[in-house]
Amino acid sequence: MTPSPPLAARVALLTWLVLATSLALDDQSGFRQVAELVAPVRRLLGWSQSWSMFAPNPPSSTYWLEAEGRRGPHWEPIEIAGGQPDSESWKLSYARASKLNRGLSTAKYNGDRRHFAHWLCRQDDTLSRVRFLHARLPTAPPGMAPSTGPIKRTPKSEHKCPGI
Amino acid sequence: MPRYLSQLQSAWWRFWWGKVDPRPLAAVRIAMATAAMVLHLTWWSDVEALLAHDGLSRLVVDLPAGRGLTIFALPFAEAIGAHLLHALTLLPLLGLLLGWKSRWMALLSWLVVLGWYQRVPGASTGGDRLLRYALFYLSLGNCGGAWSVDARSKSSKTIPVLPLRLIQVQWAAMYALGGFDKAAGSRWMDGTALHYALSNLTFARAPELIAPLVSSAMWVPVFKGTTWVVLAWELLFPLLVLHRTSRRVALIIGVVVHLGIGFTMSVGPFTSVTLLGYLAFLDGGGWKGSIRHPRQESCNPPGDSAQDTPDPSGQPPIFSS
Repeated sequence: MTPSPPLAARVALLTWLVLATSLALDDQSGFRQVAELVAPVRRLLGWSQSWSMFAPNPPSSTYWLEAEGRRGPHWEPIEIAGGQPDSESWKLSYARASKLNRGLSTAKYNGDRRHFAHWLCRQDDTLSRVRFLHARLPTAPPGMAPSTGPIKRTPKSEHKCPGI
Repeated sequence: MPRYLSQLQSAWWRFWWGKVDPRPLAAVRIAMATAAMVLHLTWWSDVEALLAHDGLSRLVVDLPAGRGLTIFALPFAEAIGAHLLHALTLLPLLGLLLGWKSRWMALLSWLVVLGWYQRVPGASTGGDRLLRYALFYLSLGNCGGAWSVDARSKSSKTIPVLPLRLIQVQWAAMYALGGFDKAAGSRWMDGTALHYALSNLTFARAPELIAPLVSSAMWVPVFKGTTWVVLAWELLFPLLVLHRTSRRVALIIGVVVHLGIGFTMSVGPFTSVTLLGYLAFLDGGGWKGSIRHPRQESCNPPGDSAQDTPDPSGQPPIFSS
């Protein structure tokens, strides 16, 4: 016997399949317009269909975000979660803040670092400015001893603390 | 309408709405509720920094205003208030685990998990996203048809397969889409991708144990071969799950790959949620029980569906052979 779901359920399913397909193909040129149309839904509900972990290539370096704060004339390092990974300690639990900060070290989220800087300023009212650096340690090619340096640091952005 | 079209239409709706044993979906419900509860507890150390109203600004999303669908947008979600709200949101997850008003609890659980993402999207991982999808799909069907408080008052001998099917399709799509993205990368094609993934100190769970392997020339061919197997498995996963035998192979490889990732890399809830989703691929008759369902279909895609090859025992073919 053929199941006969209600019309509304059939329409809902077909709508979902079209939406999910559009989300999955949103980087294809033919789907750009549809992707723009459904982008608010994707952002609001977290309905991305991008599953590109380690794709198209795994990163060729370990990278992280570093922060420095200015107190008087001096810049001093600020300890933030997700700083330089320790090559000796075991990671038994997952650090969410580390993922967040790693994301902030990339160009895609340039605008968001300002919010992070202001939050760091709120934690320490002796700071007048905060600046961020993208640090990277290249991965050695297969069959070679693990790379230990040098660490390349690239300045990302500098922010004035609010109210200063 | 031509007969073949009518048959095609019928098969299409049967694929999505065929009746199956409620136990596999119940297993997925229990598994996903457990995963959500564990994640809920792991969030606790980050409540004040990441979730609370006065925590980090809402980052890494370009919605112009508001904090979206999250209770942490409430102004009193600060300090102890944030902890109380976080504790309160454990209740729907517990309700889902117990199967009390299951569909509503699945919907509320989805909103809870969505709330974490909405509050701090930059800390959300692929595993969180899979969990959100699974909870949303669970809310679309009778996920409390077995092993639940709901089933004590109203048990269901069969339920529409829709939520299970959506989870199966979602998992298969995830692998295929990830596989296509990887196939475009030079390191997956030259076989060095696994080396670079394992060598990354951000993810390495035990760098001291992995370092001798990734730096040894002897292991290079092993990592190469494994890279290609993983790539082929991801690309072929949607096809492999269509047939009973190849489905078992695909799932076994999946278990090995994900456990390998879980033991060597710290990638958040991705390993556990993905593996728990495999429960959706187990067939209804896998749960040895006393009930018999006269027109029950396989929980898995057609080809070995009981609709196509009716089984006298009423059990789906995969377990009746």
